[in-house]
This record gives sequence, C-alpha cells and structure tokens, in this order.
Amino acid sequence: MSAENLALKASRIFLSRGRRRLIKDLSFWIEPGQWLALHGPNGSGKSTLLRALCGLRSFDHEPELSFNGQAIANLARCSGIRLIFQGHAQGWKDGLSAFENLRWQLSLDQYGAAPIGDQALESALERCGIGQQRHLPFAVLSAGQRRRLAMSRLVLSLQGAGHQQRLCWLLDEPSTALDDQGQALMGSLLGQLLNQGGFAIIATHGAIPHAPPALTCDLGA
Amino acid sequence: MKGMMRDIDSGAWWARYAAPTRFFPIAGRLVAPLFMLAAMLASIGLYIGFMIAPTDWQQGESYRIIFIHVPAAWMSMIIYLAMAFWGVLALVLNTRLSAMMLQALAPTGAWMTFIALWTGAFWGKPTWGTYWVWDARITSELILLFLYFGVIGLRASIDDDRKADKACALMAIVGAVNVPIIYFSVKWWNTLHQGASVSLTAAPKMAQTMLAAMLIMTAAAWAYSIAASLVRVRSLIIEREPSSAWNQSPSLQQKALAGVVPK
Amino acid sequence: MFLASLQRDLRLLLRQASEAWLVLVFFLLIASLFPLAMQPEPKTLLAIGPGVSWVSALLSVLLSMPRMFAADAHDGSLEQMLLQSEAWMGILLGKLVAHWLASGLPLSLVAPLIGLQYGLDATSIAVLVAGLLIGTPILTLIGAIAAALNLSARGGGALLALLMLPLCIPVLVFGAGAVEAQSAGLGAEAHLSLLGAGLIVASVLAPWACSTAIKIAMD
Repeated sequence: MSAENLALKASRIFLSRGRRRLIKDLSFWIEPGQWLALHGPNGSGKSTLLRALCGLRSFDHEPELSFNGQAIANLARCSGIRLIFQGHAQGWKDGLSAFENLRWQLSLDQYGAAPIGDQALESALERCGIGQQRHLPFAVLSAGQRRRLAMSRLVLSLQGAGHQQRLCWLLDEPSTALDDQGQALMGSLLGQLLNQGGFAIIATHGAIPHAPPALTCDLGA
Repeated sequence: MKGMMRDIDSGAWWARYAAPTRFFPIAGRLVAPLFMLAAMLASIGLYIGFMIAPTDWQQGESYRIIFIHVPAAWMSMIIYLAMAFWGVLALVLNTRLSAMMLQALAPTGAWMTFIALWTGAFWGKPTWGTYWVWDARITSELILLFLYFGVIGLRASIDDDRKADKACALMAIVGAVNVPIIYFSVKWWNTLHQGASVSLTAAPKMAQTMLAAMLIMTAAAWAYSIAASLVRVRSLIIEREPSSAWNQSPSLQQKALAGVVPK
Repeated sequence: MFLASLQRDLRLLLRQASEAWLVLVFFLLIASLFPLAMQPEPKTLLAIGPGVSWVSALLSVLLSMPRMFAADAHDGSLEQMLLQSEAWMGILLGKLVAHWLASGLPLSLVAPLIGLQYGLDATSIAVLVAGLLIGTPILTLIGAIAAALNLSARGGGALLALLMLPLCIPVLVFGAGAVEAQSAGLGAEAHLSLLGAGLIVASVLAPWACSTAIKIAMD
C-alpha cells in the first residue's frame, strides 16, 4: 500500500471563534512519517484547529477529512488512527501524584488495548527525567516538570500495541517551559514517532530543535 | 455561502425556509396582519366576555378575569411546548433558525405565564379572600415561570451564540420533559392537603357565550404570540446574520444608511 | 472504565475531604436555622420537620454541584475523557456515582440527627432516610445536567440553582410527602415507589442529557 493511500487529507476547513472567522478554506495533506507544524501568532486559531480536528469542537461547515481513503468526521472517531491529543490544559489533576496521573491518562489512551504495566510507566518517567518526582503531588511540580510528564505519556504511546492503527499526535505548543535537554528529548521522540510511520500536527511558535523537517502551515498569513 | 445554498435547494421544500435569508421577508409580511388579527379578536373577545356574557350566579362579576387568565395560562404551556419543539430541531438538525425561534418565544411565554399568575391572584382575592393560593395549577404555573427564567437566564449567561443556542435547546427539552412530572407531583401534593387548597379549576359552568369569549381570546393570544415572536426573530436575524436581513429589505437598507441598523 | 473513574474521583475527594464535610455541615446548619427563626414548639417542628429536612438536603446537594465538572473542565481532563468515545459513558457514570457517594449518601445517613431535632418518631425517621437514599441520587442526576449546562455559562452558582431547583421539585414533594404520609398513618409505599420509579427514569435519561450538555460546553 503506497504512502499516499494512508495519508490524512483535509480540505474545505472553515473555522470561526464566536463571530470572527479564523480559518478560511484550509487544506493539507500529511503522509505517514511526516509532521505538520502549525505556525501563527496568538489567537490565529492554532489551538482551535487542533481541537476541531479532534472532534472536541465543530467546524463551520463539514470539511472533507479522509484517512486511508475513507471519509472521517474527526480524528478521534477514526478507527485507523490512535490519537494522542495534548491541549494547553493537559488534563492533569493537582490532587493526584505524577504517577497516578499518568496511570489514569494511560487507562484512557490504552482503552481497548492490553494494559501497560507499572514497570513501563516507571521507566518512561525515568527517561523523561522525572523518575524522582513521580510520587510527589502534582501541584508541587514545576512547569518544566509537568511538561516532562506530558512527554512520558508520549513515550508510552510509542510503545503501545495496536499495529493496525497509525499513531497520531496532536500537540499544542509542547516545547513550552522545556529546558534544552527537554527540547532535545522532544525532538528525538518526534523522530521516533515518524520512524514508526506515525504522524503529528503540532502547533508551535518556534521550531522544535533536533526535530526532523516539517511541513509548515502558517495560520497568520 | 455556495455550499449552504446547495444543501438547502436539494432538501425538502420546507427546508428552504430554514434559511434566515428566505424566512426574514416572509416573517416581515406576516407580522402586521397577525397583530391586527390579534387586536380584532381581543376586542371581540373582551367585549363578549365583559359585556355580553351573563353574570355568574356564584362569583358575580369578578369571574370575568378568566377571559384573560385562562388563555394566558394555555398559551404559557403551548409556547413552552413550541420552544421544546424548536429545541429538538435545533439540536438534531443544527439549524440556526430553530434556535432563534426558541430564543424569540421565551420572553413571550414568560409574559403569558406572568399574566396568568397575576390575573389568577386578582381572581383569588375577591373570590376566596386571598391573593395567593397553593392550588395545583397556579403552583405549576409558578414553576413554569422559573423554567422560562432558566432558559432566558442561560441564554443571557453564555456569550458564544452557537453554544447558547444548543444549551438553551437542551434546557428547553429537559424542562418540557419535566413539566408533566412537575404538574403531576404538584397535583398529588395538592390533593393531600385539601384543607389548604382552593381549586381555581372550579370555574363557573360555561354558558355558550362564556365559552365563545374564552376561545376567541385564546385565538387572540395565539395570534399575538406568533406576531411578537416573529418580530423578535427578525431582530435576532438582523443581529446575528446581517447579510440575510440586509439583502432582503430596502427599508432596512435605508435605515442602515441613516445609521440606525448595523450593517 | 466505570470503576477506574469511580476510583479516581473518590481518591481525589478523599484528598480534599473538606469539600465533603462541608456539605454535611451545611446540611445540619440549614436545618438548625429554621427553629431559630420561629417558635420552636414541638407541634410546629413536627409539622415542618420532613419538609425542612428535604429542603436542607436539596440545598446541600446544590452546594456540592459546581465542583462536579468545573475542575475537570478547567484543567483539561474532561476533554481527554470525551476523546475516548467508547469509554465516555462509563467514565461519566463513575463520576455521577462518586458524587452521590460523597454527598447524597452521607446526607441520608446523617438525617436521623435532624429527625431527632424536629421530634420525628422512629418510623418517620426511617422513611426519611429511605426517601433520601432513593431521592438524593435523583438530585445528583438532575444537578449534573444543570452543572454541565452551567459549564457553558459565565458567572457563579445562581444560574445553577435556577436551572436545578425547579426540576427537583417532584423529588421534594414525594420525599417529604412520604414522611408525612407515614406520620399520618397512611403508609409511605406509594411515595417511595414513585421516587424509585423516578430514579429509574432519571438514571436512563439524565446521563444522556448531561453528556450532551458537556459536549456543548466543550465546543
């Protein structure tokens, strides 16, 4: 099967927030192993577009979205895609520890697949540099440490089973608050994702260092 | 815009009128005749009710307020059901006009409920010596008024138009499902407390003229409610979709040029 | 996912146990206000006891409603749950049950204290507790719809009260009516079975309405 068939194709995307039209007739096409960088000033609709692609909010009119040649309503409801979405608010609870937060999030991500053991969680946390802090209450973690927790979720998604499905990351500004080491890790994780044949759409202000080259889409234009 | 028109023309004949563009002028043409009809019917009804219908042997002249009270009460319930109907359409078909109809009906419905409660109080005073009675129907009317306030309040608290549309649609549906349950429970409660209750349903036996007056007043209330709601829908269309209203009405264009109506 | 969601919510609640205690204290406080505002004659108290208990329970559940979804909506966990479309209903039900376990259930168990304050006899108290056990889940279910709709709105809890309270009136009527019927010697079966029927209907319809309201709010 050629890469073309497996592509995520989107066209006729119209998006408004309130009465303001943000995106008018956008189209893009991503093949497995590629990632799309969404650029644009604040308020240009990057986060809104990611949420709409997930199905959390609606487009102005029905866009033409297809994956693997089949029309889909949004990325969350596509059986051929395993979706990991990280918005601005990433969904961690202050009242739980980092470990517990990850455990819960994983039970959502891995729903329907074989569960991942605690061992794997611990090593993912180690790899991302927050192994020591894993049982601390989430509220005491710094912004950078919270980002690293988000990355450990991505690490585990790479390991998860489900080879019938393509892994897709929709990330909203994943490099915020990360130090150089963290950014390097992010870049290498992205590289791993693309090597596995997954794809990603990432809203980002600047470039992601050490990341493979990206298709770009500038919403500010 | 092109895509939208394509969808509408290919759909059912009634779906064509679901576009605010087409609905706006039609609504405009209906408003004045409906108001006139309402005024006519109301004058006839009130004349018969207050002048011609016989004095009730039990309640004297004060019973005549039912010619306003009963039609208002009926309308308050009918309008709530209509709101729920538009709510279902708004959620299922995702049409903007259905949501606007819902929003337009709510204030009229609330007014009808208020009038029913107010006139009920004025009926109660001369008849049973008290302004307020915990009668099953009056109490249910009060709760209905709160349900209307809920929909109106919800609308007012949500800034995003589309979100407000859907939230109010859901609230109207949930309320409508509950109205029979609430009425049943209040009636149950009322029958258990016979001592404290006086039934306003003990309306005087209906002479022909009384019935006629009541029906005419109800028709007047219908016509008025529809007309008032259409006026409100038109102003909602102007507010939310200026392009539809703008293209259709030369008088609006003139007003806009004079700075009265937003472009 | 139902159990996992239930476990998560209960764990979060245990770590912020003050919220649950607050609801209980509020319940007892409100019920204690009424006699202080009037003459505490035993006959009057006996007459208003059931009603006061139920109104206090309703207001206490109302107080606990804003925390049901607001925190999750704010920190982004609600949308992560929504993305799992197959597991979503189980997760939502877990949240609803967890909420009741932390509000309605403790209220029902503490209600005998209020019954004693108002001079209700043993069987009346039993009927009060039974009614609350059946009725408070309904309050949680209806309140969840109102709380979810409130997510879309700005402003505080006043709108939540306006949306929730009228819909809860039947529960109030039958719950308090059950105790009065018991005191009058008529037996409370009819009232309690109506409450039970209400619970079944609410458990079927309310989660759907609540889920729709959440999706509207997340839009």
